Amino acid sequence: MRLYRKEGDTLKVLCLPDEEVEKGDYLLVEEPERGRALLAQVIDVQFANIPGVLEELLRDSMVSCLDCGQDVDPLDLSSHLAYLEDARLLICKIRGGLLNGRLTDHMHWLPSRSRSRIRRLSTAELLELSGVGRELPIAIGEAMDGSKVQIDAKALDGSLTIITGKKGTGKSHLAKLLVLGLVRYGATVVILDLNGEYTRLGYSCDGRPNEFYGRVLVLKPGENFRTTLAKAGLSVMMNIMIHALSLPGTSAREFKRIWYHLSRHGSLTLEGLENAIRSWKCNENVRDALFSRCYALSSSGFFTDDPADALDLEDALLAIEGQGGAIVINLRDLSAVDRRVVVEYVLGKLTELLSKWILRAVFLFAEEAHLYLRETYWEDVVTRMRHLGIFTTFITNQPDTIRDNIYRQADNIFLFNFTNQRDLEMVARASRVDAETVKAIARELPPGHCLIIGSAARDLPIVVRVRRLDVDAMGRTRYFFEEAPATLKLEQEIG
Amino acid sequence: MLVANHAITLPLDAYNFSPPSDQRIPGKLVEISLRSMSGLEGSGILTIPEQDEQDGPMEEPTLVLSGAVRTRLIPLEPLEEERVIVGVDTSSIKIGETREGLLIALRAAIVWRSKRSCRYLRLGPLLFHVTEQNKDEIYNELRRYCLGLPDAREAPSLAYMPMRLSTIFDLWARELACHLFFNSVLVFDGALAIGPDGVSQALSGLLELARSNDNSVIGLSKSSKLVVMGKPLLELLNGTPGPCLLEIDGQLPIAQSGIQLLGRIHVAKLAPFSCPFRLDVDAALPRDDGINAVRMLLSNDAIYEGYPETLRLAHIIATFTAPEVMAMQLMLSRTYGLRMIRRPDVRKLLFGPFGTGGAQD
Repeated sequence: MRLYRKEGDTLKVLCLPDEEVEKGDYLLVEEPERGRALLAQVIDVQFANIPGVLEELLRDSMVSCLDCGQDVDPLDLSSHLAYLEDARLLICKIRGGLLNGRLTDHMHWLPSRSRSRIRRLSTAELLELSGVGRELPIAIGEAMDGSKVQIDAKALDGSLTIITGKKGTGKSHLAKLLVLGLVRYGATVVILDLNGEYTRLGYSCDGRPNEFYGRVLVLKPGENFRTTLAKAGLSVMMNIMIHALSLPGTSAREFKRIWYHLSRHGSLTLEGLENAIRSWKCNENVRDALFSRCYALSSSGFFTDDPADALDLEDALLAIEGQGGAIVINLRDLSAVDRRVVVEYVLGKLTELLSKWILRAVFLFAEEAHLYLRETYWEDVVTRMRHLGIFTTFITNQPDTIRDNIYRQADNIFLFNFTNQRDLEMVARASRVDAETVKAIARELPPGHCLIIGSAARDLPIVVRVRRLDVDAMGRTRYFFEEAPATLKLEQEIG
Repeated sequence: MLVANHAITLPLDAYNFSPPSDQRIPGKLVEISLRSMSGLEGSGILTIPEQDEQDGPMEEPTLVLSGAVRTRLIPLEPLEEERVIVGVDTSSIKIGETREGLLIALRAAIVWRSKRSCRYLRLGPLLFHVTEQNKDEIYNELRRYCLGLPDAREAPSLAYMPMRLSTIFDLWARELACHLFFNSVLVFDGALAIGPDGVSQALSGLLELARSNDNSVIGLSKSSKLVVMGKPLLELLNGTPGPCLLEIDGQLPIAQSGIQLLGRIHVAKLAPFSCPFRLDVDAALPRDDGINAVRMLLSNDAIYEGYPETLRLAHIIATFTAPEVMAMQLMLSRTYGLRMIRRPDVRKLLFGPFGTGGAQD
């Protein structure tokens, strides 16, 4: 390999066909006598611009149109020509510098074209240099060269993370892997599970309980997850009323007064609320609004008047605090309104517990959060929540449902394949990596492969084939033609 | 008489004509080529000339036809008689310079059209490392084995060797075509003339071979230095629509120029509104047979911009592209350990963008 050009932070390297380099690989451009090197990542592989190659290809096409031909080529020129025609130009982004074997930010120097030596750096060497995944390693999978890749659980701590890619590429699979990795290190994880695909995290592929069996609590709202108004508290209920059930301001004020009234009389129940609304002296429109919200609460099945039937989320969270565990909130089969009610309750409770330092910190995994998160929450994620100790991981196949500022503030992005230009443009707004890298690499990622961007990879983007997980996978797309019916096979054989 | 020494059998059975029993590629040619390059190991460096230095010195002088010159315009109609049309062209290029001499590559192409099917045979490239020490040996061996010229001669200076080797190789390729085809129209690139170069006298034997195989030979030149009646030859058909031939018949100052013409000279427009070309027809053929050969060319070959498609394809197939030159340099570097160095352009060094065609990357 030879250095051809440097333009800003882009290197262009000439590479011959027998030199194996792929998109995503790292190259080390060394100047041994000066004890320094540049670390560059291949983001695109193009044909080298050999002068006259178009003429050659045109002639080849023309000759191949003739009916028959024979080349008497005693020097075997054709093989040398094919070798040259396949010469490649590697477009690389400089990711860092090396000074006396240590990774530095000093990368704004021009390596020598004639004296610099270029070699491919194995992922193992790269990880060794960067120190990725040394302290609390979570094994993610294998790099393209077969090296094991693990990230540091600490990289997710205090961080905002996005897992995105088009459907069927393995986002949920990676999310599960991260959840279990965090649980193993004693973290408290809450999962907002839209499709009920995390509910079997405690089981291995063969259906038997796995090592996480006792540490995964699956909560199904309306079934084993209910609460009373009293346990929810006014603050959480006000959020539910205003944000989940869109109660107007005037009605919300009346609701607050009713709440105080019921609280004073010790009848903070759904029945008490209904009776109070009926007899409350207020505008009829306000009464109607309050009634409709009361019915919504009641019909959600999430609220109960029987304290024995209610689950104390605080207790559940405290039970796993320290030893590590995951609470899966199964939102499957819930209506959109009920989903918002439940999520508002959970987030409200978490905020309450964290702000009182009852909980230390929570890792929140939210699948397709735009379907249940209120508008103002997005702002909270990048401002308030991380200071409170809620470290969110968004998982989505629609990157435009996540706001710009979330991408800009994201500490980690696990990017799976996208082919749509608009989707790529959206993800490319992330500040931890240049847009070219995102667009060039993500477009060609095979299913099950992701590009790790951000602090988890120490800002050295790595392509990883996500490892298999011995967990009962509920999130797989269900197919009709998974196995050809026996009759069809038989017909094919006969045919 | 042309006598080629052959060693490698050509795979010609696939081309729907019966190869003569002794039809082979001249292994001697390959042997001379390899022998010439055997001294390359110690050369170390191959200097690559700038592209505009590739053309060697020109040998062709301007010829002025004087005296009584008669011309005759002959309108052309395609003659619907089935013939194989054969185009022959060769290409040569200077690959680079060593401390001792030059490296020259040669390649030939023969393209033939029979009915609607078009086929080709490409021979080469062959590389020759020509030095002051071996140039006489190479020159005379090639003359002897390719052209059957037994007498030893002094080789021209190194600067003229690429052109001279190219001429020998071209004559050999033409001879091969004359040998392989019967009752066909052979179209060569260039005039049917013998110059004072010491090798082109083989052309007369070659034409004789062609005639003995019932072939008609036509030489087609894209440019000409002939001046007739005070006008450049190719301007004589200005304003005349094709297809037509303008036959030039007159006394030529052959003795003065040292050039012997073996063809009847024409200016040809082979298609309406096409470019004019110089067209020589084997002078030993009866005049009508020569004209009929051109008419059969019109009916049996595609004519593109007034130029026969077989000859156009032969040129395209034989010519060296820039990647091929690089591939040969790569082969030399791998096989003989030569290091390539591009020779600095002294004009550019001295004058920069002034007077060298402007600033370029």
